[in-house]
Amino acid sequence: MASVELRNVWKIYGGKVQAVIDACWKCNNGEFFSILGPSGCGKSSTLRMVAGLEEITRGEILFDDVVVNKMPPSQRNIAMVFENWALYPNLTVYENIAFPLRVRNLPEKEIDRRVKSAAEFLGLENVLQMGVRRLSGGEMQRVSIGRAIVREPQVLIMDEPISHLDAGLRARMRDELKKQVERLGVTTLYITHDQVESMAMADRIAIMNLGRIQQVGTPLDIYYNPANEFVAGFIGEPPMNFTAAELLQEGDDFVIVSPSFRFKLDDICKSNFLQYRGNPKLKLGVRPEDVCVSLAPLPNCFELPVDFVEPQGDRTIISLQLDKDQTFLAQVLGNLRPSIGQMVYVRFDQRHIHFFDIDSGENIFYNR
Amino acid sequence: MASVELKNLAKRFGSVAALKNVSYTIKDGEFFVLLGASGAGKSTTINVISGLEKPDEGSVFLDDNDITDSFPQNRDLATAFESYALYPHFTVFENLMFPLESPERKRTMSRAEREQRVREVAEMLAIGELLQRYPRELSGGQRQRVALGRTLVRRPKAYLLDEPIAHLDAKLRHRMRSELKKIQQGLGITTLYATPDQLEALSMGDTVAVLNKGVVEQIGAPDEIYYYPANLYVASFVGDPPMNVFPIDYHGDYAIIECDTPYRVPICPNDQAMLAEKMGGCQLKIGIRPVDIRLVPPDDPRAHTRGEVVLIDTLGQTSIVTVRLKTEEIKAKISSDLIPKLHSSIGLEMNNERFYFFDAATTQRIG
Repeated sequence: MASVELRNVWKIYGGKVQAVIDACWKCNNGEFFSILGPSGCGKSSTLRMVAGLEEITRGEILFDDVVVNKMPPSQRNIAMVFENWALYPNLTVYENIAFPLRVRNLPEKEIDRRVKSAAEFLGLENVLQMGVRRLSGGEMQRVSIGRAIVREPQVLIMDEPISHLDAGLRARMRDELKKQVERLGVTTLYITHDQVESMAMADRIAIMNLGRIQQVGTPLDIYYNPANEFVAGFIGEPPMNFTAAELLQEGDDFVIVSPSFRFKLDDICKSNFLQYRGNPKLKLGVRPEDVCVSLAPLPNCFELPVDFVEPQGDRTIISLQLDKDQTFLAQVLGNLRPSIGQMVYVRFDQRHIHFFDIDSGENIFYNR
Repeated sequence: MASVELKNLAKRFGSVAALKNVSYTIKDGEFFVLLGASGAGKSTTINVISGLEKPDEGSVFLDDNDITDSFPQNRDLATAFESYALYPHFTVFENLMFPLESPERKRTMSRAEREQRVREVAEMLAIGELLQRYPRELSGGQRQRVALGRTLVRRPKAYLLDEPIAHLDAKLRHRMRSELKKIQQGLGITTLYATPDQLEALSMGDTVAVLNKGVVEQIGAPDEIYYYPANLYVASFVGDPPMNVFPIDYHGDYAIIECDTPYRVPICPNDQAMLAEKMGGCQLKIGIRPVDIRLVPPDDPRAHTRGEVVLIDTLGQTSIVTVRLKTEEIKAKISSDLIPKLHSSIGLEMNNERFYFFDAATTQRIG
């Protein structure tokens, strides 16, 4: 096992397309580290550079503090698990797992030992002689992990290994995969565009957009303390609400005003703003779960009409009409079901509201 | 607009029965969701209603007219499929315009009206900016919206939508869900919507039919499906993560949950009365939704059982915690403020006001 570190890594294609811009992060030894971002964000280029399949334009990649820029892929001892699991359909489970060892011409005895130990570890002992075509999805996934780990790799790279599955199966595979990786304790880089997978599985996440690392942190750190508007909007489902608003001082009070609402900042929020000298025009970000909706007036609330109601069992998503073009989503308990057009009382949970710079999108109070 | 009625439909493909004696009515103007895993028979249902597939048995009625044998083009239904076949040499605008170019529509709608319709639909589906592009220049999600738009520009007796937003990313899917529902409510056109996603079904449907291997397991309003599932299949399919289900040994005011480490849970008086009346001596299974389980310290007197935390899935404000007893696992959905330590020992307190009971033999819910 090894740590993986990127120091100011760039990937520029054809001298002009900047796929990865100045990436810096370190995945610790044994860590489950996820690289998350929309398509085209540079996550695949990053993983290809780590694996040695792609030249590094600028910067350094280190395994266990040793620069590997010039090391050929075969010597990096990285195992990869892909989206389609890429098993050999006409080989048995045993031969699929043994394949990377046969390629390396290991002695038969050693191959047998390693395959059996991987199979035991992954609970595949009983299907070793079966063809892979007869396996369930979960078993196929374990075979592909088995094939990756028999090589005793320093780093395991998983590239969207479960993105293509149905929702129910995906949730089960996610659990299974996470348990296996945790037991293995191998350093794992997990590449995905699905924030739910990263949040649920990773020890830490590096979020990328347009080639740049946006934030590196634990799932809850990123969720509660997003560095900027992109991260705030990318993480969380349903997504965070954003709207332009203005900070006004009225006597001792600070109020947030938009054409559709106004509310007074409580003491904690206010204390943040006491030192603030920036643009009073801001972007307010509130997660749907932090929008409280009530049929009776609440302190410091305002009224909005209901645009749409989505019952979802134990929760209800309510879309509130801010103005002609903007809606705000609220996530409330399943027993609250206002009707469309009804006026409801709304208040934000100020412990979790965010303010972003209207131009740069940076979180004004990031890491405070 | 029209009602759609299916009467005793059956359809086999070789040895596989895709639909087994399916009957229900989709009311005029209703948003009717067909919910089921892949292979449940959703697409077959849509193909039979649209006329692409002939049923082996049974009939399809549109209002009161038997259309089982009429040609697809005479049924006045508009279908959107999961796989989208767009005309590659047409722009998005031309693709959307295409269904409105028939001689009949040209007679009843002016050019300006038709263009107006296309623009409205494109706006609703957030593809208004893409009208001059070609399909090859679009992402999968954009193409799927164009395909859906080509259906929605029409004003048929009913829409048949087969997983029409399956290929969109999570954020867009959420937005499209409410847009689609609004469009449908605005137009009042009867809609059959097939999906494997229980969240879509609960949030969009006026009525939901849960389909499993060609059989309708339950038909009802979303709340009925969630709060009063007819049987174990529906109970486990609807709700995320799925309900925890275990066999129990029932003793009146308490029950022993039979798993690798049996434990005792109190049964509330309402359930006792209900079971006394209805269970009739059958073997029982208990269902407990993850939201109805609380985590408490392992030595807390409120703990009904205890185990090891083996998995923590952070979803944001809520997290799913998997607790292993010996080999069996229980999932609880909790606030992320209360996340326990991985591999720590933890107690579980079940909310016995929210238990579900099932007949172990028939899998039907009792109550």
